[in-house]
Amino acid sequence: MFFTYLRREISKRKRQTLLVSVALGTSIGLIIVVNAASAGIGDAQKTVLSGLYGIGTDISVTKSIQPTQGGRGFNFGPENADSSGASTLNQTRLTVPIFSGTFDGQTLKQIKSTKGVSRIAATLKLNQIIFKGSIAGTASNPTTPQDPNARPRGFGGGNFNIDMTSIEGVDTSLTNVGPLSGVNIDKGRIFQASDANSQNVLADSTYALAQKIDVGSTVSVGSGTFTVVGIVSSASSSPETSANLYIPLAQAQTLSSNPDLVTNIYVAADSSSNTDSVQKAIEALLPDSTVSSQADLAKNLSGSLSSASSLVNALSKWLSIFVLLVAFLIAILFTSSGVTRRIREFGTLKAIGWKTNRIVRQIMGESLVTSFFGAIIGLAIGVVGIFVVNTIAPTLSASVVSPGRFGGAAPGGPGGPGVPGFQPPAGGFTGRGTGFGRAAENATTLKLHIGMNVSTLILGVLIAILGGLIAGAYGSWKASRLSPAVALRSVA
Amino acid sequence: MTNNILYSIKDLSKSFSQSNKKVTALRNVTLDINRGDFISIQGPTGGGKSTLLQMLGGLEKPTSGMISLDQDDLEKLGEAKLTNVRAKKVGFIFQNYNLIPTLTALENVQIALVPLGIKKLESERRALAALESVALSDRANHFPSELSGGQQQRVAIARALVKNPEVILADEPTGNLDEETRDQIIDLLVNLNKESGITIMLVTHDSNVAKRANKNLHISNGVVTTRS
Ligand SMILES: Nc1ncnc2c1ncn2[C@@H]1O[C@H](COP(=O)(O)OP(=O)(O)OP(=O)(O)O)[C@@H](O)[C@H]1O
Ligand SMILES: [Mg+2]
Repeated sequence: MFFTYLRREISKRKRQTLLVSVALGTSIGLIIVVNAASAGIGDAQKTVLSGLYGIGTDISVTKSIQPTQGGRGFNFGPENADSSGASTLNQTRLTVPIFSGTFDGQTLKQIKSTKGVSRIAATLKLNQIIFKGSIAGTASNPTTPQDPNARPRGFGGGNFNIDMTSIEGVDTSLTNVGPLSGVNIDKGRIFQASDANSQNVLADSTYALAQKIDVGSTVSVGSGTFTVVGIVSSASSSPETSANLYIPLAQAQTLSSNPDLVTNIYVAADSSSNTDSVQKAIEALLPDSTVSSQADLAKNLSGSLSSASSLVNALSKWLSIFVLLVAFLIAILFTSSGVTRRIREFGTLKAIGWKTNRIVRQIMGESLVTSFFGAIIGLAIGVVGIFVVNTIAPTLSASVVSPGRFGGAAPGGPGGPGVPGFQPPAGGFTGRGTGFGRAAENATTLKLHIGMNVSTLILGVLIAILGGLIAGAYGSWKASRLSPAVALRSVA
Repeated sequence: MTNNILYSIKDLSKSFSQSNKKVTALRNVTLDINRGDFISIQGPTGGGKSTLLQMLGGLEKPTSGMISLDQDDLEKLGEAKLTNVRAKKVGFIFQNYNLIPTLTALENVQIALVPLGIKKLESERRALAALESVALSDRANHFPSELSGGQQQRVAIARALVKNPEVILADEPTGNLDEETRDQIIDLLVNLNKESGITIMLVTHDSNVAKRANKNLHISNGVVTTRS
């Protein structure tokens, strides 16, 4: 009789069943979509981060320093001056980014032997600055050295170009951690262990396009000439990889006269649960360095992706709670009013000799079946909702707000680099750090894609069942308090 | 001799308190009811007729006094035992039929057998037989909304007698029916009483109905008097 009665109630009271299950279903559907979106945005963040810092990288170690004033300047010697007093310049400098500190081989060994570290890749980031052109006028006029009105060593105008290229010296034998772990090979090949001492170079696809270079072209880095063996692009939808050119680490060290030195250390932990402890161990080992995990990096993201992330994180919690409360309330109210409408029915059953337990079982059964329909409706709404979101696929953008941690991109440095005979306009060309560290200007856009998550779906079903239990329990409580004497009431 | 007495009622009182006001629905009722009696209960509205049926059927407990049904002292029984007494010994018939609207006629009869733990096939067989005895076996699969008032009340009678109870308690069973249907229903009850000796207590406002009983009770202001 239990199932007959249950089946009859569900099928004969369609409106009641439908209302409660649609209310539960709608809220569960919403919760599924919002939570999936939240997970999707989390994944998007991960994608962006691995695009910026390499997929296999769990922890990144850099050091930033205060540059010494007047340190790395160009020297425009008088020997370049022509008869009109103008200087013709063509100077190339290959330097470690101005705010980047370096690590030595000993430190590398220590990190490598830290417990929980599975792989490390060290790179040397370099900036190649080519200053080309002429500076006219009073740059150095030996005939009027005492002229009080003359601005000694002032900038008198000219025609010149500054070319900046970011170079990264990489470990050619390790491409599953570090900057090359997050790239696609568009053309040619990636480095192999045998490239360690070669004069080969990989070029970023965006850079290659701008510079009209291709596999087989040669490019000069410092005093060396390198052959392009591969064109790489970012595996994420960020347009560029972390450097313009990649050369073997040993070559970079030799060319920049930095033997044994590196600027960036990329660490892969042996398991993701170890990331925290490895990070702490390295921090203890290198107190002056910046040791960042992916989680730290996520905090530095800005743009619509991170707004979406905080929005959805807030939404997924509060919206879920609100929607759930409303749905539960609707379920409870309808179940309760259903019991009120059936007072005579339940009273009659009691008068006939039905135990309260049996009536409770019946009400709980009805409520659970209704909530089960709610779960199905919720799953359908969730699946369709996720499909709709993916079809609309909002585009999100992200950029890193705190450069300097990676690639030596500096927060706006002090104005002048102390170039003798050259007074740059305020803010100078080193004023904005972005030109030097590729990571810093990696503004990325990507389309949001949210996936179906089985545990979210299961959670939705469980929530629906919980709603059914709560509503059923309330209805049962009301029914259990009924006196069988209500069956005799003459009013219908 | 005790075997012949179905109900033994002594000094039974029932009062309700509603918003600080005490309403006494039954006052010191003392009464014996024999097996096989067909008793009509009449009286003005609010007199306490339905309250007496509640006491007889174990739906409510008396405020004071004693009431026993076939050895069971109803005023002493807990809810579970009282439920059991209702399930086994008492058949109710209501003015509004009180059928479950979502169940068929057959299922409505079967629900009376549920607390007795009777298996599906046996329950179906007995319910069909009960419907047969009220001449409704051809409507077994109809829902209450598909039946006339008289037919619904006959389903309710089948539900009351399918458990083979000691007593049938009917509260104005013909109150909503036209005269012809009323007479059919009363004929049915009279036959039941005569043929299976089942005790029937029937509340009515209709003296034509009361005439068919072999004993008549009158309740006014909670006081029961016998007119036979
Ligand atoms: N549950 C209750 N709570 C409070 N008062 C009640 C309750 N049940 C009955 N009464 C009161 O007890 C008195 C007797 O009521 P009862 O229903 O027994 O009358 P009745 O004779 O059946 O009347 P009617 O012919 O109108 O059905 C009335 O005054 C009624 O208001
Ligand atoms: Mg009454």
